[in-house]
This record gives sequence, structure tokens and C-alpha cells, in this order.
Amino acid sequence: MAIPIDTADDTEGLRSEAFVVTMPPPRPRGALDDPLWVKLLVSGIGLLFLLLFILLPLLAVFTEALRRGVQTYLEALTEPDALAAIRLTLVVAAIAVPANLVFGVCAAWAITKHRFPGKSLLLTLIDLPFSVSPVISGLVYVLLFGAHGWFGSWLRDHGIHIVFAVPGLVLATVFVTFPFIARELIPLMQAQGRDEEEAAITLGASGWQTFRRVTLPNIRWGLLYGVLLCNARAMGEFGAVSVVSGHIRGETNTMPLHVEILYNEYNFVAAFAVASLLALLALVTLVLKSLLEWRYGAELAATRRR
Amino acid sequence: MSIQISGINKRFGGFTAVDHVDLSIASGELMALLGPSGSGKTTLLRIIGGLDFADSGQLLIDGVDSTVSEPHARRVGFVFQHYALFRHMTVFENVAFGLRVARRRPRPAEAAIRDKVMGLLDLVQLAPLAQRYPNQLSGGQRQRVALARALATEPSVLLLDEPFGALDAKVRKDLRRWLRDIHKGMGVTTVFVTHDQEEALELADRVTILHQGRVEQVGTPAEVYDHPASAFVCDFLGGGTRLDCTLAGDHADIAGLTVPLANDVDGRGAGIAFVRPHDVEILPAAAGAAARIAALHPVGPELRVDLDLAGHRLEAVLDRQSPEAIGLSPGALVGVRLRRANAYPA
Repeated sequence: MAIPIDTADDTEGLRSEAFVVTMPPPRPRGALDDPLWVKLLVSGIGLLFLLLFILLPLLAVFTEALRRGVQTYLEALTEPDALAAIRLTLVVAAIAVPANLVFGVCAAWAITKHRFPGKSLLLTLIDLPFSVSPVISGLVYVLLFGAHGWFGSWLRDHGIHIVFAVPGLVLATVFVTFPFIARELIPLMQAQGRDEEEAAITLGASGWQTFRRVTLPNIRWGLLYGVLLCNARAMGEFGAVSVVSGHIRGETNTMPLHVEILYNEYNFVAAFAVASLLALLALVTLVLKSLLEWRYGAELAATRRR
Repeated sequence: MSIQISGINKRFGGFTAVDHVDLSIASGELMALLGPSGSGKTTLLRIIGGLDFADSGQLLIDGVDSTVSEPHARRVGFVFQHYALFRHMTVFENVAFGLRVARRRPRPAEAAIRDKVMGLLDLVQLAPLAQRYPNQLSGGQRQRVALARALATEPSVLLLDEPFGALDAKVRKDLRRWLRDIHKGMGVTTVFVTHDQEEALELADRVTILHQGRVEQVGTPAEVYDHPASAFVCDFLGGGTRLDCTLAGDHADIAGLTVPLANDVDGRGAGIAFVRPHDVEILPAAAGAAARIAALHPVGPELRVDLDLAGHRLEAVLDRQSPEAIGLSPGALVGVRLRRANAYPA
């Protein structure tokens, strides 16, 4: 059964935003156009600051690291304690990031797709790690699990080491980085609304099918973006980790802590060599982030264009 | 399949969205839920579809108590106001979704899904666009994809929430006629929500008019238009000019004129009358009651006339080509006769 309808609006699809590249027309001087000297001055100040406070230090890290040549640089990185620090940092991030991935998705899902008592409390608590000093985040775990902490004696009796061991590092890192993914997803999922999920439910999808086939694909870029930021922070975290680490070389030293130790020992080349890895991580993160923003911006625009 | 709603209530916090609604929808019927925003029409539709659940009352679908059953168990197809297409899926995958997640086993084979989906896309005349994404479609096309998607699971009840609300006038008109034809062809019980009285009157077999969560009137389009049960219904269905009047049995006194009433009214005394523009007759100046032309608005084939009748503003409508219309000018004196009015106790 085919029913003839007026197909005049079929052509509209071809005219939709996806196909039309509109060039901005040459604009006469508008109300918000400033004189040339103002533009130059303002952007000049911006650039100068960028150069002085961001680019110069970054450059310094790499020049200091390579001051004694590539050979020394590589030796500093392959020295056993440095390797252990790199390995530990990767392990901590490999646990903390997936943990926050699961938590972030659950929290964002609960907050944006459901109504329940205590919702605004949860929303506030998610922000807590952003508002509290990382040192306190670390200290909390020492107070809880340390030798003289609340659970300290019980843990000691059972031979479980949390503080000054890998579990403590993971806990502190998870705490500090847990808002990243949830905070990234909540506005995105709020903007997307619940319509598509409801449509999936009426079409017979189960809760899990709805999540896997509808919700997850819609948030994938936002999720990746959150994971990236979360990972950068997890690897770079200093304060909270420093409190619970105990700074045992080759055992509980992450890269940022290792940099500090080397620096305090006046081993500048090695300190900057390890620091350069962290700086490199930051640069890679930035590039990936820009790529995602470029991609994810289009996705977001598509959601608004519905 | 028939739908029986009895004593359904729904509150959101302190707001009563649906207030003791009783309604029965016959099998194969095309029913409109009509009302202003906040009248509870969408909530009622969502309760029928299983997206919201009633606080109290009972819902029977085809005689089966469905008050608390899951949406998929009710076999309803739902078309959302903003289409709610899966934006990351092609048109084809959108329509196929309901078949792919089907809970009955075995699930349809890929070839069967393909045939079914392409059949539906033919029906909605979008087969050539099967591989497009929703954001590459126009509003009217998206609406048709949404309908095909809802029909894919062969629902026994089709529910549409403001199906044409976001479309421009011409597309809306085409789709209306087209939905009517689809309904005729498939015979599926269909309920749609609208705030547009013209849409409801044109499309539906019967119209339910809702106001503040309550049913004001249920009837065929002609019934509700000709015999509005309340002042609200009359006003909402394009009642025309609202005037104070004095009720006097089968007629009312409006601005010194005696006007026959179209509806039966109990009681006498102060009332509210509605005079539709078509029931205002414009006569030569000597005949009828004297009125002054306040303004003239040519709208397409019609000429809308604003009249000043003894201090009351009155609206009339004429064919622009008719002899009465020619020669009218603002400020001129004319005679006016009111053919009939609907009146209600104040």
C-alpha cells in the first residue's frame, strides 16, 4: 500500500544544514568591531602572556632535559627507579580511569534520565573533589586507612596495606579525578533529553538494550573526551598522591613524585627528563582533545539540529 | 483494539495533570485529544502508552488490564512530538530497531527485517533515503520515519503526540491527509494529541476536549462544533466573539438584540454568549441593529470585519467577492443581524 503524498518537502532534505555551506557576507563595520589598535593591543597582551607563562616553561622543560644530550636523557628515563615510576603511573591510571568511567556513566545516567530523592545532593557531591584541596583528599585516606587511622589496626591485623602502597595511590587518584567524566556527560545527556530512550522502550527494547544501542552511541564522543581529561589528571596528580605515597623509590613513586625527588636531589637533567614525559602527555592530550572537540562539536550541533 | 479508561488520575507534585478521566475509544477509531497546553492531553497519551503510570484508575487495552504493564507488553506504537529518531542510526536502522530488539524468539531473520523495513519505507515514500541520517532530513520526512518506525512492530494501538506541531502549514496539511489515509488502510486504533482545533476536527472520527485535566466533551467533530457542551469548549473551538448576554429560554438578549440560541440552556439571567463570525450578517444601514465598521482585514479569500455594535466589538467574516463585501469601508454605518449564538450561564 503506497499512498501518494505531496513530496514537495522532500527537496528540503537537500537544503538542510548538512549540505549548504554558507559564506558569511562581507560585513560593514559592525557595532562590535573595535578599532585596529585595540584589536592588536588586546591580542598582543594575550599572546605575550601565553608566551611567557606557558610556552617558555614548556620549552625550558625540554631544553633542560636534553642539556647533556640525548644519551643522558634516555639513560635518565631507563634507569630502574624511573621505569618503576612510569610503570606505577600507568597502573594507577589503568585502574582509576576505568573505575571513574563506570562511575561517571552511572552517575550521569541516574542524574539525567531519572528522578529520585537526593539527586541534587549527588550532583553537589560529584563536584566535591574539584572544590577540595588535593592534599586533603590524600589526608582523608591516611586518616581512614593509615596505621593510626580508623581502620588502621584492623587492616594491619589482616596484612592489608593501603596507605604507602599501590591501593592508596589508586584510591586517592580515583577520588581526585572522579568528577571529570560525570561532569562531561551530565550536560550532554541533559541536552539530549530522554526522548530517544523512551522511543526505544516503546519499541520493545530492554533497559540494557536501550543503554547499549541508544544512550551509549549518543554519548561516545563526550565520553572519550572525559576519559582523556580524566587520564591526563590521573597521570599528573601530585598533591593527593604525595600524601598517601610515602615516596618509596621504585615502589610507591609515581612520575610526578619521582620528578620532585630527583629535583630535590639536584639531579636536574633526570628530573626534567621525566618531566618532559609528563609534558609530552599533556601535549598529546591537548592534540587529542582538540581533535575531539572538532569532531564532538559537530556531534553536539547535530543534536541541536534534530 | 479498544481502549477503556476509567477514573484515571495523575499528579506531578502539587499539579493535577489528569483528573478523574473516563474515556472509551473504540477499536479502529481515530481519536483526537484536544486541549490547550497544560490540559493533560499529553500525560493521558503517555499513560495509555505506558511512559507514565496513573496514580489511580484503570486502563484496559482490548479488555486486558494494562494500568501497570510495560510499554512493550501493550503493543503500542508511539510517535513523539519531536520525532525522537535515533540520531546515530540511518533511516533504515531507525525503522528496523523495533524488529532487532524484539523479545519474542526467534527474532526475525535479516532478510525478513529488510523486506519489512523497505516495505514500510515505501509506504512512507522514503525508500530512496534509507541510508540517510535523521539530521539530513526535513521535518516532514523525519515525521514519516518516526511513523514508519512506530508501525514496524505492528502495534495494535498507535499513539501520536502533537504529530504535526513542528511542521510548516503546507507540509502539515499534506501529512494530515496522508495520516488519515494510512489509518483507513491499516485500521489501527489511533489516538493523537493536538492543540490545534482545526487539525482535530478535520482528522479525527471523534474528538475529546480536555481542560485542566478533565474531559469537557467527547463527540464527533460535527457534534462538538455544533453543540459545544460548555463555554470552554465553545471558546476553544473557535467560538468567535464573547459577549455578555441575558438568557431568556430559547433566545438570549445580546446588546439589545434578540438572538436565537443554538444550544439548550437551563436557567435565565446573566450569561455569556459566543457569536461565530459566520453567524454575523451584515445588512444595509437601515436594516437590523446599527453598527459601525471599525476595521477591515482582507485575509486570502475572506474579508474579516471588525464591528462596533453599541460599544461591543464584534467580528464578522464575508467572502471578499460577495456583494455585501464590496463597498464596505472603515467608519461606515451598517446594519447587523446575529443568526444564532451559543450561550452559557455566567
